Amino acid sequence: MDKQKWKHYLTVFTNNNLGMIGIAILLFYIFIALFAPLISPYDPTARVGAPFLSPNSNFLLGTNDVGQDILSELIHGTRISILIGIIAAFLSVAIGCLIGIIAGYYGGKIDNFLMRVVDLVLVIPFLPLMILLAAFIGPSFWNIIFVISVLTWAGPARVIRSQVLTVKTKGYVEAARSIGSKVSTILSKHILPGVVPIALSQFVLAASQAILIEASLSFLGLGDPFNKSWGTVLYYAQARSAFLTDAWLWWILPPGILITVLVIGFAFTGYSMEEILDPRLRKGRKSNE
Amino acid sequence: MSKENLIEVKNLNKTFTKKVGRHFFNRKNVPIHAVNNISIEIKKGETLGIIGESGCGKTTTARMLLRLQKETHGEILFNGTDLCKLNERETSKFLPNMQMIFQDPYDTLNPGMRVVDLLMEPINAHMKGISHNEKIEIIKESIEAIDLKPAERFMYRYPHELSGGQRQRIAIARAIILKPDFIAADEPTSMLDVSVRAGILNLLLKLKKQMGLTMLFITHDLTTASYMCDRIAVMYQGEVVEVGNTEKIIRNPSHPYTRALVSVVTDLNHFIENRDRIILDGEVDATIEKKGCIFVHRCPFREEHCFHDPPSLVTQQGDHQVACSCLDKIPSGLPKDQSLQQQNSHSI
Repeated sequence: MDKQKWKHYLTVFTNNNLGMIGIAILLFYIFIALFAPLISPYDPTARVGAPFLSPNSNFLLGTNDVGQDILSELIHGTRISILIGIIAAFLSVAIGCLIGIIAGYYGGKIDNFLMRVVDLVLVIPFLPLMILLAAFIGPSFWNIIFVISVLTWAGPARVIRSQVLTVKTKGYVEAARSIGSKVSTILSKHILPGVVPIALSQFVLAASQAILIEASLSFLGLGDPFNKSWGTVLYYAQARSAFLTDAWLWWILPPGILITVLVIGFAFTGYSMEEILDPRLRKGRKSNE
Repeated sequence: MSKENLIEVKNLNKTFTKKVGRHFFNRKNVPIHAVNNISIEIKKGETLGIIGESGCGKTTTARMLLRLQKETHGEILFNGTDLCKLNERETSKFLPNMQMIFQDPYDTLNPGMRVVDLLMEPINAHMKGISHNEKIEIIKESIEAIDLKPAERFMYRYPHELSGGQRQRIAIARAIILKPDFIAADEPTSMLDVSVRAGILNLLLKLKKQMGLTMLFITHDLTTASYMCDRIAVMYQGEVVEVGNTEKIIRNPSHPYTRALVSVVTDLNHFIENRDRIILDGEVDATIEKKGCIFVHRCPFREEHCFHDPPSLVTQQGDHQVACSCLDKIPSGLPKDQSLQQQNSHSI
């Protein structure tokens, strides 16, 4: 895509309040994740106080069952949650792009076959299979990413396929074929650039989905025990009956809020990206070129 | 006509299927003959024009020649090789020899690529093992060949920074950059402003002379065709109804359809006044299996046998061929002359 177009996209984006809020939230989280060791008051793996402490001036959110600082756990958990979310979403959209582009460009039987596979993946009862898969291959950082991306690529694949179908009919694709360009060149130089904006918005939505899935898997005890994410914190809180005591206020509510706000941040960003893609959604019309 | 043929098309057919019927149970596939048994020859260095109304199969024919579309059956001989029998890899070896100029320069140039990148594409596809600087040189040469000077001013622009005429010139540059023998131009001026059309046509004529190109020139405009082409083939409903030298077709059109086309251009007032005697209004349904002459529904000279026996292309004089079985019953000369004659005879 040309520079002018991207500039135009940027102005549409900055004119959108929701989008700016979303981006601000995301940047805030990324900041926390990047500087986690500097921000967090304690080492999250060290026993720094007595177990089950209520919040006090030393431990803002109290301590957990083994005396680790919950605030530090959460700050370090941001890293894991966001990393898993982004990597899984990237893989999911990458698989989706590949399948969508192949199905859309070649059409016919290949398209039919791939789209039936997509249907299959979409209708599989999601949570049970995910739990089964995660339990089967064991809890670890990469396994969770694998499970999430294997189960979420179908949605992006379908959206991207339909975009490929419209890009495919453009005259420049036909011109490239008449020149005798290789299929790989046509796909990468002519089809892919037309798909990138949609893939980006799909990526944002997939990331929020992936973070939620990661949290639920970890909450069920299928997360990586050595890389504590927010979901893992919730799992231990639940296992130590935090729900039944006052501890839910500082042990369960904070990670819950963190997850919710991050997902909202992704959703807002995703909405305003959709606005870029669909000019009809724009409120104030700005002249285009 | 001692020159040999560069391209020989023999009995080329293209049939599309269309689904007819609303319900699942009475749905039928109906064939539509977009191109029906056409045979044309293009000699080396010659420009053959194909004219005809929208939907008559002009573009489909060109697309099949350029292998953008598979034919239903038929033969396309390029320098003696049947392109229809080649697989994809073998076809791509022929593609540098034949290129296409498309109708809409706003659609055929990728908006995200600069002129250099656009022109680099054919080079990268077919010329292996030359350095980047050499490629840039070739690109500069080809931009100057299409009269955009100096080349540096245009090389790093995006298509949206160019005018329609300039875009079409870039599209032409992309077609000639591999020095092809054959170019198919699919209505290259129909999307352009009238003011820049002549420039594009003259550029094509100049390039043709310089590079010794053979051209297939598709248009629906008889005036353009007569300016550009050595020979003209008139298509109607997927069939060639008349082929001949441009001079012959314009001065002495034989097929009723050609006569109608020519009379529109030569004297529109006369055409409007005498419409009934030149062409009939008729609904054309491409899905109906045709038995007789394809033009029968709109032909003012039709006779009973025209509804049953399809005429084939018959050579008249030289290489002038016409597909009409009533030629001897049609008064010769331009329709306009006849009406004058008739008026004269009335007055006498």
